[in-house]
Amino acid sequence: MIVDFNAYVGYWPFRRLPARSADEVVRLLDKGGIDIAVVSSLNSTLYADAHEGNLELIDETRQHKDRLIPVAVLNPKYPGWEHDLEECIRLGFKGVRLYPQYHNYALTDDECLKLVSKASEMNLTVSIPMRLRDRRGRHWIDVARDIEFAEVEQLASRMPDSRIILLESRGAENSTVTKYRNVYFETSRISTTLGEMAKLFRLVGASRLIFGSGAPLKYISPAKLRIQLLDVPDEARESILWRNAFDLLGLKTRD
Amino acid sequence: MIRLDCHSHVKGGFWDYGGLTATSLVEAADKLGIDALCCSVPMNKPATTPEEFRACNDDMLRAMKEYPDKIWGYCFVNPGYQSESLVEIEKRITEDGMVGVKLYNQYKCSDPVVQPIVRKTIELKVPILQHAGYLTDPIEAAKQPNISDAHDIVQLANLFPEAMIVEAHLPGGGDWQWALKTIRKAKNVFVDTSGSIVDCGFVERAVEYVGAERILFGTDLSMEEGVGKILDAEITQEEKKLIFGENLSRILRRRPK
Repeated sequence: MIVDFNAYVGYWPFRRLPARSADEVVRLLDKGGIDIAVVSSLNSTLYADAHEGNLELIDETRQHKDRLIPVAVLNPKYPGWEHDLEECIRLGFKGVRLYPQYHNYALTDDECLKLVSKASEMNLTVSIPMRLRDRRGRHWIDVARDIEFAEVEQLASRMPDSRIILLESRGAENSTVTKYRNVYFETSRISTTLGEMAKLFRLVGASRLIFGSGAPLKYISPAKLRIQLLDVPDEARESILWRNAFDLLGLKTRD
Repeated sequence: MIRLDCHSHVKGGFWDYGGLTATSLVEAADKLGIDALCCSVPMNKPATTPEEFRACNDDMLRAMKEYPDKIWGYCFVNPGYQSESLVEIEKRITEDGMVGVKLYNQYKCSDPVVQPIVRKTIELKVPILQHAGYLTDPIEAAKQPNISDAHDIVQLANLFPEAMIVEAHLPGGGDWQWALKTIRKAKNVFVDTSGSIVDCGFVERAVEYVGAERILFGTDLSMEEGVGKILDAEITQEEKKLIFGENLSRILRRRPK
């Protein structure tokens, strides 16, 4: 079993992706050996009203409820996010994903703290991509910043009851963010052969590592190889590949 | 299916490469089914001196001797020191068994200072692995003012149609779509797939634009990424065979024993 905590449905405005619709993403997951993916709307990154992407996503994923778990993109700086969050819960979203770099706010802004607090009260995870695109090849109009670990630390310390999933969290093993027990680390950009994954594993253990791929922005196999090559007991590997995600999302195994 | 990594590095010179040793590099390669790695020890320093690049190549040679079947070396030089570079290349290729030349970012490869180096590689029938990138982010670009881009490489390739020039880390060097379109018609330019960027669809697009015969598998020490992106690409098994190793084998066979 593999659960991918870092996947998307939708259009990326700067490049034609090989999979955009939910049907196409599911085909990609089939090919990549992924059983379940936690997806958010890519469209929500640049829509003025991010919630419109959530409404599209719930329509798209309706036919794939056993494979795609939708998480809602909310912009705490945009009016009505409280209403949108409530609506997302009614519609079946299982978590929240934030894009502060595209929605132009800091994780420590009051509105963001309020949103994270509200989501945590509802027992929802809050996932935050450190970045969506490598700076070196970005489109000239895409000036989104990378999120700094220091900013995440401030959020984590001020919201101790939250469960924050850092997507694309390369470099975490060299940061003090690892001391916050409410922060989890998605593994797609953490190298096993360069020793980064082992170091992070030593710091946070298996229970705070979460498998993700970044599909369909990124190929799936690199992320899978990282976990295959990681020298840990099978039980720890299972935790990283799916058990932790099940716990965070409140999912139950069929048996 | 043979897997030859056309772009890797060993610890040496003044770089640590994440603490990876020749032994740990070979162990990782074994786990990923990589049969051999073409490595270099370049320096990211504008005025790298002959003493420094010779020391880098000494480190390279030590790793080659430690793992002769697994680690093959490129000779790194700074073209600004022309006579010293030419002597170094001659010695490292013909006496030490290195398989090619690595050029970094000391000069853009369209600079005339690079031309004697290219003539030497044609004479010795070895490829040049040219560090390159089209860095669209101003902050990243400012870090490497003399980095070559695909346009520089095409200029050089057109001047020397017999040269075998590999544009390094196409996906890891910025806007790879720009680079692919730029080098499309330059038949003696190859691209390597290395780098940490694993943009889904990159390999397929590269095959579409330049053909599988001009694409070389590489990692640049992003090893899971390097292997994984080829495994996932929606291309034929025959194309994967070419990319994973047959193309590089063909290039390296041109070098006299």
